[in-house]
Order: sequence, then structure tokens, then C-alpha cells
Amino acid sequence: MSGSWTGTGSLLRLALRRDRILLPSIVGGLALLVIASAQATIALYPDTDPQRLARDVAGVAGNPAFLAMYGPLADPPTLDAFAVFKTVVMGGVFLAIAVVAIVRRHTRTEEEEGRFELLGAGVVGRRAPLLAACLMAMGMVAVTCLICAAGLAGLGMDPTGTLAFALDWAALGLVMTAVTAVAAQLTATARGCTTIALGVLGVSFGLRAAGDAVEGAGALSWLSPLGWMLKVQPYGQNRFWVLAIPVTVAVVLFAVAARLLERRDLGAGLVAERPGPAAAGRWLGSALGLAWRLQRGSLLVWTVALLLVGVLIGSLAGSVASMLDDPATQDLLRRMSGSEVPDLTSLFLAAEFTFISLAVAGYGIAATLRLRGEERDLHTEPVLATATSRWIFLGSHLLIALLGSTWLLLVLGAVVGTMRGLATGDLAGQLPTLIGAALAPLPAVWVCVGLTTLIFGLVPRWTSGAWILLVLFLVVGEFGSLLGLPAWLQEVSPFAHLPSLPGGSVTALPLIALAAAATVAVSTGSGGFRRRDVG
Amino acid sequence: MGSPAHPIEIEGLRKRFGATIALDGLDLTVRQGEVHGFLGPNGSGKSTTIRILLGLLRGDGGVARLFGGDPWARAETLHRRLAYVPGEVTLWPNLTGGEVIDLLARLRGGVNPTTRARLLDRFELDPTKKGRSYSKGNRQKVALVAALASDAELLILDEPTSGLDPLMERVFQQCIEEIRDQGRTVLLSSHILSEVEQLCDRVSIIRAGRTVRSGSLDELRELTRTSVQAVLERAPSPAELDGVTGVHELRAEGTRVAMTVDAAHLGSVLAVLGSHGIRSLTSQPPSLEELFVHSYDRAGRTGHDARHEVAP
Ligand SMILES: Nc1ncnc2c1ncn2[C@@H]1O[C@H](COP(=O)(O)OP(=O)(O)OP(=O)(O)O)[C@@H](O)[C@H]1O
Ligand SMILES: [Mg+2]
Repeated sequence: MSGSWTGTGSLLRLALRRDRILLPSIVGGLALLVIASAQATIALYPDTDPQRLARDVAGVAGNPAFLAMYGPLADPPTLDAFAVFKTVVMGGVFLAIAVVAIVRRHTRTEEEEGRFELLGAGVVGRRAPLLAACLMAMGMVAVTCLICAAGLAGLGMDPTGTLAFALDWAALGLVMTAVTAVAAQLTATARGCTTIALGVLGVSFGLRAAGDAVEGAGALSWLSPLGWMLKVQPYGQNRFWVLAIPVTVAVVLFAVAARLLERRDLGAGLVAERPGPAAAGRWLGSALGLAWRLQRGSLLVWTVALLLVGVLIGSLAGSVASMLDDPATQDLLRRMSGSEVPDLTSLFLAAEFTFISLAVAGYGIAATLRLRGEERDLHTEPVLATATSRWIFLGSHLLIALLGSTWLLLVLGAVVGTMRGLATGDLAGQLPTLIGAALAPLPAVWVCVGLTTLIFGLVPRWTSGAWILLVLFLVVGEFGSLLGLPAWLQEVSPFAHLPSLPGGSVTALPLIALAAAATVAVSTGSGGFRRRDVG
Repeated sequence: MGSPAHPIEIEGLRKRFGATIALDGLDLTVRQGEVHGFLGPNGSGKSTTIRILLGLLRGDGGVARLFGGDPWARAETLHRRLAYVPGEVTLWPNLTGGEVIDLLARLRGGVNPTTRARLLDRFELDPTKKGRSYSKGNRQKVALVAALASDAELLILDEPTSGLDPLMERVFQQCIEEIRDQGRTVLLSSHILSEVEQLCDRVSIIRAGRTVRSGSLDELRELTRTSVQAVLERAPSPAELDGVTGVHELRAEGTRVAMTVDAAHLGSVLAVLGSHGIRSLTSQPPSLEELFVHSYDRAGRTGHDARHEVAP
């Protein structure tokens, strides 16, 4: 029995060595985000002006857009609670994604690439890789929480609340580690593992967004790991007992993962491989057909996800107006939006569409990175040894990235438009308007696809840099003004140049500039790929 | 330019990866209708040469011509005329073997259903399995069937039989013989000497990115020395034999002598030995294995016979 754990230590050391740059970057980035945004918030509200805090808190507390994104403010709404309002959930999502990436990287990816077979023949126990990966993820979470706690305490924030915040994040990290551990046993591919784990995260976000923002749906938040975090209410009631839920769930999931691990073969998933067709169908006869075959599954998953998100937003939008009767709140929201916005529902929808377009940009990047995946897995070589040119190989995946992201935003706009149209009795007006509004961020999404192509064509080794860019765009968009980042840095993000739709006015120039930037990036990247070695 | 170009012509090809020099002036000519063996120790640059020929890598210097054209600039058009088995076969995990075979064939321009069915049968390959559930040998068979099922005039095969069992190895050899009988051309990179001996009309041996030998097997054999052992009636003085041209590695103990002799001088050496009265004599022509070990091991190191090339 003890034999199945042997070798965990050496695996852990190996993994730490491999990730010696990645880990400190994640920990440092997350800690910086939490501490810097808390500090910036506290600096906004000097003790001399208590009314201002009360007013802003009231504005935030009632706004369904904020409720859906960040959840409710802790009760009582202290300045400290306000200082971590955005980071509890949003930072938590980043933390969760990092945990998924680390656990997957050291379990399923290794196994898929056959490296465990080399190790497995040595003195490494059957459970050791999974244990090492989980310990590594938990270690990362623990260090992050410690640094954040030290920083927040250093800002003079309430010690009990700081403890609650740190434990809150640690509990989320624990649950997501356990979720990924199970996901890694269920499928035979690293991709499948990510889909399951991030799917759980997405559903958690959706459940708590609905629970927090839709009246009468509050129970849903209790089904979500992200919801549990908010129920703890750090810097408010500091309800530590809520943490028992994520800890229990994690223990159960770890036990499940261990059981599953016993029951499957190395390299396999739980679901046995079924035989497939003996000959290729009509569609599988061109580079595009192959790219579609490889990518259609993930487009389907994304389509379902955006359908659900669309339903969520469509139903939230209805309650926006009714929940915001208070004139003071309406006034605050107008001031915060800066520009002239005719109604709050539009403001809400515009904010959601922009935010979701960042996720769709994530799809676009992932779809484009298939190019690199195919190249690294040596699948490109036999394809390019046929009459398929490099342009066609590149174009096939690129087309799916560009059209796929368009399709996803179209689905979003159509669902929200239909729901709003039915609710207002103006389907003919709402549907086209909201489809247009949902598609408005497309040029920014395409810029992300273009930048990914550029990296792939010129410096293929750095393709994961595309994700760093997306995180940068997300952080400057979400936290840029709060952190007081310089204007030029905030405007680096293509998403900073989008019109506020529906409701806002459209100027063509920024959109044309974005489309032009995307075109230049794509053609430079393609040219680079045409000229470089493959492999 | 009068005669049609050879399917493959490479002269002085160079390629480096950062600090590693992978190809250092490599020459290779494959003539129409021959099966050409491409041999060399691990890391000598065989796969790199093939990748440059396919336009996947760009050579740093020298000339590589595929059907007389530039493989880098005209890759797609030239590729319609060839089929390729990569040195490292990886299949798409969620495509079946049958799908991969059809896909690659269609990307090249079409599949011949009769040949495909016959090959699946001969290689005993189940086309309904998904890529990730094939064993190593069966993955290799998928790539082989995909290439052999085509009517391409040139086959470029990079260690095509690695992982195949001896029975399948035999099936492969039969297939290549049929292809040769059809007058098609094959470039075969291989470490399996019996396979090379069985199939190849000519071979090129490379080492550290350079061609060290090239020619038919018989020609190459002549370049290597025959080992000769003899017991003589009168013990010769070492100087007597050492001076004879073509004698190497001489060991003499009394009337017992052993040496290696250049094939070209065998006659004159035997005459010298005969003048001492031969009691017994054994002479062994070099085995293919000796030939290769000799080339792999020594060619690059000793200046002596490093560039024994036979003009094509
Ligand atoms: N993409 C690359 N980057 C860096 N070095 C490379 C790359 N590809 C090949 N090399 C190096 O070039 C040299 C030749 O490699 P190549 O794969 O052509 O050898 P090979 O003759 O096919 O060997 P084997 O018999 O083992 O297949 C080796 O030293 C190898 O390490
Ligand atoms: Mg090789």
C-alpha cells in the first residue's frame, strides 16, 4: 500500500524544477493583484469622507451587473470588504485556472506524452504522480495566500478578515485541485481534463452569478465553490464555518480520484476506447476538413456554454431596471459609466458583452494554438508532405478560430436578443440590435487571434505568450483604472477601444483600426510561418 | 539539362540548428527506378535531409532538388508525386487508422480502394481503432499503408519498419519489391541491414552530416578489406609482408599470419603468401555488418579512407 506513494518526493522536486519560472510568476501576479487593488481602494477613501464610501457601497450593492460579476459585498460593508470586493471572486477565478493548469500539467499531460512510462518503470508508485501534482498546486495556493495575507495585514486591514480571505482562497484552491484530480482520471486527454475542470469552474461562476443577481435564485450560490467564498464574507461577518463545505467536498473528491485511479490503466481514461469508422467520411478529405474534425468538439462545448451564459444574461437584464429604482444608485451608475447611456439595461448588457468577448477571445486563442499543438505533436509533418501548402494548413485552423469566435458571439447575441425581445414585446427591434451589440467586440477578438498567429509564425516557442497577453488585457480592463495604471498601458488592450453597445454611439475609426491591426498581425504571422522551419 | 532530372539530387547540403551542425556538405543522388538505401548512425542527419527534401526545413547551403525542382519553393506541386513515412509516426488520437489513411491519401490527390484494402489485409491492420489505442508497430503500419496505397512515383521512407515484427517486415519487403518492379523510386532510410541488403540497388552511407560512401553494395564491398588468415610453410619476416601494398593490420606469429587486405590487391598479396608455401588459408569477404560498422565508426575519424567515394 505504502508502495503506491513512493517517489512522490522526487517527482515533486522534478516538477518544481520544471516550473521554476511559471510558479513564481503566478504567485507574484496574484499577490500583486490583490494587494495593489486593496491599497488603491483604501487610498480612494480617506477617513474624512465617510459619506462617500457609504454612497458608493450602496451603489455597488444594488447593481445586478456587479452582483453577477463579483457577488454581493460582505455584510457589514466595511472599507476593507470594499477593498477586496473585486478580487475575492475575480482573483479567485485566476487562482482556480492556475491550479487546473498545474495539476493537469503534471498528471494528464505527462501521461499523454508517455513520460510516466519512463518514470513508472522506475521506483515511482502508482499514486505518486497525482499526489505530487496536487501537493504542488496546494503549495502554490498556500504560498499565494500567505503572501496576500501578509500584504493585506501590512496595509493595516482587519486581521480576522485577512485570515478569512486567505482561508477562503485556500479552500477554493483545495476544491479546484480535487476537481482537476478527478477530471484527470475521467478522460484520456489533457484537453478533456481541462474541459471538465474549467467547465466546473464556469458552471460555478454561472450558478453564483445567477444566485447573487437574480431575485429568488439565492440558493444557487450555495451549490458553487465560488459562491461559498462569498458566503464566508471576509472582512464582514467572517463566517469561518462555511469553509467546512469546500473542505468536505475536496476530501470526498480526492477519495473519488484515488478510487478512479485504481480502476484505470496508465494512459487510458475510464471510458474504454470504442472502435470508429474504418474509412474516412466525405468531409475528412482536406486540410479544412481535418481542422474542423479536430476542433468541432471544443466549438460545440463553447457553443453550449455561451447559450447558457446568454440565458443567464438575458434573464438578469430583466431584473436590472426593477432592482434599480433608487435614483441615487442610478445617478452613481451613470457617473461611473462616464459616457451618456440611455438606460441601465443597456449599460449592463454592454458591460457583460465586453467581458464575455474576452472569454471568446480565449476560444480564439485556443483554436489558433491548435496550429502549434499539431506542429509539436508532429502531426503537421505528414500533412505538409502532401499537396497541402503551408498557407492552407495555417488558413484552415485560422478560419475556424475567426469564424468560430464570430459564431459564438452571434449565439450570445441571438439568445440575449430573443429573451429581451420576448420580455419587451419588441423582438424585431431587440434581436438585431443585440446581435449587433454582441458582435461589436469581434475586432478586438480578432486582434487576439492575429497576435497569436503572429507569435506562432515568428517565435513558435513562445506561443503560450498569447495567454499572457489575454490575461494582461483582462487585468488592465478590470483593474486598470482602480490600480491607476498609466493610460497608454490601459489602451494597449484592444478591448479598451470598443464602443459601449447596446446604447452607446459607434465611431468607425477604432473598429477599423482594430480590424486593420488584426489583418497585419495575421499576414505577418503567416509570412513568418511560410519562411520558418517546421517541427 | 538534356536528360530528365533524377528524382533526388543533393549536393553539398548544409543545415545547422543553433550550435549543432546537422548537415555538413551532404551529397545524395537517387536515380529513377532504384531503391536507394540511406544509412548512417543515430543523429547523422538522415531525417534532417529528408525534411529538407520535403520542404519542411530550409537548407542553409548547398543544393537539394526534388524531381529537378526546389523543394522549398514548390513543395505542394512536387508533393503530389511522392508519399512519405515519417521517422516518428504520431497519429491523431481521436481519428481511426482507416480515417488517417484516407485523409493522407486524399490530401495527396486520391486513394486507390483496391490497393488500400489489399494492404490492410496483408499488414493485418484493423482500421477501426483510434489513433491512441494502436500499438507502436500498428501505428507504423498505418503510416506504411497510407504511403504504400498511393500510386506516387517516389516513396520517401524514414525508418519505415521500426517496430514491425519479422513477419510484417517480410510483407514490407515484398511490397517494396513490387514497387521496384513497377519502376517506381524509393529512398529508404534504415538501420536494418538485412532489409537494406535485400532491397537496395544502391546505398549512401552518411556520418556526421556528410556522405562517406555511396554506390552499389558490390562496389562498397570492394572498398572494404577482406580478412585473410594463413598458415605458411616458412615464416616470413614481418618486413616482407608489411611492404606489400594493400596489406593492413598485419599480425604474424611464426608461420601463422593474419591480416586484412584491400580487395583490389588480393591477388598480389596471395602471390606473396604463395611464395612462402601455403599450408592453409581462410579468406572472408566483409559482411555487410562489417562494412557498416567500418563506415560508421571509422569514416569520420581516420583521415585515411574517410572519403572513399564511388562516382555514381
Ligand atoms: N529541430 C532540431 N533542433 C535542433 N537540433 C536538431 C533538430 N533536428 C535535428 N537536430 C540535430 O541534428 C542532428 C541530425 O539529426 P537527425 O534527426 O537528422 O538524425 P538521424 O540520422 O535521422 O538519426 P536517427 O538514426 O537517430 O533517426 C542531430 O544531432 C540532432 O540532434
Ligand atoms: Mg531519423
